[in-house]
Amino acid sequence: MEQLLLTNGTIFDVIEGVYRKADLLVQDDKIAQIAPNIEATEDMRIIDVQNRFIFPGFIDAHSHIGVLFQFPDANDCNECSNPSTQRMRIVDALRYDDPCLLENAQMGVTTVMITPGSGNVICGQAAIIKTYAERPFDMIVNDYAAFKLALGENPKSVYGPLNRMPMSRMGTASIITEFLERGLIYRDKRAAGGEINLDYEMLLPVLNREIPCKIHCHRADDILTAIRIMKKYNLRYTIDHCTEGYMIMDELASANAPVIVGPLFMFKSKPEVRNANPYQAIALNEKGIMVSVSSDHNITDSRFLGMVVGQLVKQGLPYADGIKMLTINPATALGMKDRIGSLETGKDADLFVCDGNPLEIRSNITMTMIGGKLVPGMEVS
Amino acid sequence: MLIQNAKIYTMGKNDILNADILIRNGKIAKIEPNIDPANELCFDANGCSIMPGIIDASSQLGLHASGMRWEGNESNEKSENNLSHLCAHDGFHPLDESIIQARKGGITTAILTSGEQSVIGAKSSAVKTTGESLEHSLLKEYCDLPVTFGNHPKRLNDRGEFPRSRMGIASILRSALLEAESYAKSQKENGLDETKYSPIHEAMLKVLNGTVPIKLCAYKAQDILAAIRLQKEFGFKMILNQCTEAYAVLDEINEAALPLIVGNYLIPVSDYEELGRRMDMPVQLEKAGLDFAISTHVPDIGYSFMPANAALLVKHGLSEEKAMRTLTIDAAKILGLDERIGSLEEGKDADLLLLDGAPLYSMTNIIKTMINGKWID
Repeated sequence: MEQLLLTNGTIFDVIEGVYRKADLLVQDDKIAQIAPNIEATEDMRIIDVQNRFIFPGFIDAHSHIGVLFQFPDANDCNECSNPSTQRMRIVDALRYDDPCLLENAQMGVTTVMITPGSGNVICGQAAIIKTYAERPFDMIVNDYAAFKLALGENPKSVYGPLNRMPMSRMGTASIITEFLERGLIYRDKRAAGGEINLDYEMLLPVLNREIPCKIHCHRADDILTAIRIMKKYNLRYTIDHCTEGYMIMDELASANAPVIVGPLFMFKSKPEVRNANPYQAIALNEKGIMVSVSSDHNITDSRFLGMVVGQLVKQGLPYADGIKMLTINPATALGMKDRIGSLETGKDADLFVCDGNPLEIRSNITMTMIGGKLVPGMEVS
Repeated sequence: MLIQNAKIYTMGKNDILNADILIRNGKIAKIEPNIDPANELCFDANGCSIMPGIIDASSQLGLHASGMRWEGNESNEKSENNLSHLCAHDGFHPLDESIIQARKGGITTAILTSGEQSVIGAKSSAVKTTGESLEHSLLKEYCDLPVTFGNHPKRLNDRGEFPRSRMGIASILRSALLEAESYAKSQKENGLDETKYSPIHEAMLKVLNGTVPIKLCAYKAQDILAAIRLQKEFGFKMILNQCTEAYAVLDEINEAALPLIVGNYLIPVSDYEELGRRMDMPVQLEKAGLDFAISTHVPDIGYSFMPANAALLVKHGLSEEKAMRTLTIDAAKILGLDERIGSLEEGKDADLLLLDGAPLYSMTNIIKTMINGKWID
């Protein structure tokens, strides 16, 4: 049993939105206690955080870190040989030693959902990983945590030029609904003792609402299509990108699905993001919609998620809500709010120490801890 | 107009001043404390900070229209390897919304620079981000000639096109310069001849006679060295652009006394050319006494974060003063625009930013942007 005590820190309580002076005791990979003046014992390692601030690690709920690179032959997150590639698992493409992973850990990003790209309609299986662990396999939290689907332009732009379906949004929707219908038949067949079919087996946890669909949709009509199909099949889902969400806020609010916006402040490189307004996150939040901010790494760099949310705070988003968009909200969207997203007893010891406001690019993150382990290459007293 | 009660980062001879700024006909007429406000339209800055407008030294602003793919992308004309007969400002869309974003992000001048898919790019143009027609917003038509070394201009398609190697790339630049030399010689000997007139040779001649620098985009150390060798061969003026691995060949850069352009540092390293990126490289440039500017270079992260880019460098060890200079006066000097812009001094254009805090913090707001003496946004 390893014990590590952080003293002289001010802990940000994400749920209440307040700072509290307290010590934090880590036992192995979990937070064992948060209280003022925890008594140190001889076998504890003690780290004096020197009156700095302790935050739960930031979470990026939509990322291609470690799987998407711009140089030739290094895009391993799009298997664009067929519009339905449900067997694809993003963990199989993960480059554990991508330097971006360690850099992100050092900047306080501790958990990311990595996902197949949106070149296909049925893209494959997304995973949740921690950005640092002493051994590579320990980075993987869940190798099948969401089922990625893509609506809108991207699949069309891959298959349209090849004269293959989908060349239209009708095609996209039909590929998804046909797949789900077959899945329902398969579920009944399996329940009656039928044979395994590898093209549908991964749908069972989706149909049984154990894991969510993760739906790439920018335009309002695509978001509405996503909501419509998910309602019809009674599935769990997150709305990813959600660029035109501000146009249909009532529908979004009543859908009650987590919204994962981002990348924000991007150049508008294609028609489906033409109406992007990064500040919509403020309005969605006011409407009571649960918003997470993601980077779509390497489309933007998740190291600067704090700075990006800071821009929203400058325009009126409450600071505490901004922190939630990088912590407890994405933790909830990923179905992991019992383990990560806030500093509470029993949760994973994923945290960072910062000498100021973590939404300001000039603030220094002096220490990151993931699963109770200190991230290397940082100044730890 | 008289701006009163401001804390001014002049970036000129006087470092930081608590003073007033008098503006006449789009120019700065006077900066000093307690200017007589009689008969002036007064603007109370309320103790806010003022700095010169930011210069984006290598930019695709307005060359790629927002919300479009190829239909609105004018940044590359891949059909040829030498585009020096083209002008970047002819691809510029002054009403694109990205220009408003740039202005709100503090960029008041952008050096329009064509992309890296041809070895020799289009003539770069300096424009102000007023959103007006070029008649009113063009600052300099031909600032520099962009040239790209390394992997980006290679035509690695299956059509067997030229160039496919660094040898091919260097030969395109060398041939263009040699051909321009013989063009000039023949013109001198035989007089002007309309059948021989070549806008490409004319553009290259401006480089050869030192009127216009080559802005040479090179990432890898080997490409920086190749550029320096060619520069010695022909004696043209040169600005190194991007120069990711400059730290590895600092002595050579220093000997050739080359100015540089770095960044965008907010984009993750994911390109093969950028694998050698080190955040302390600009710090080493400062230690070596070299001048450099910062750029957005590609539109990816948008145009809101030039101050954050500089702030990031400060976080990695660059001095605050140098970081401010890279955004303003050093960029202006490198591009030969310092008579007009880059610092707040008498006689210069009234391009300035009003800030509610210290400039190099991402939580600081740019409250207002002034270009040519007019508040915009």
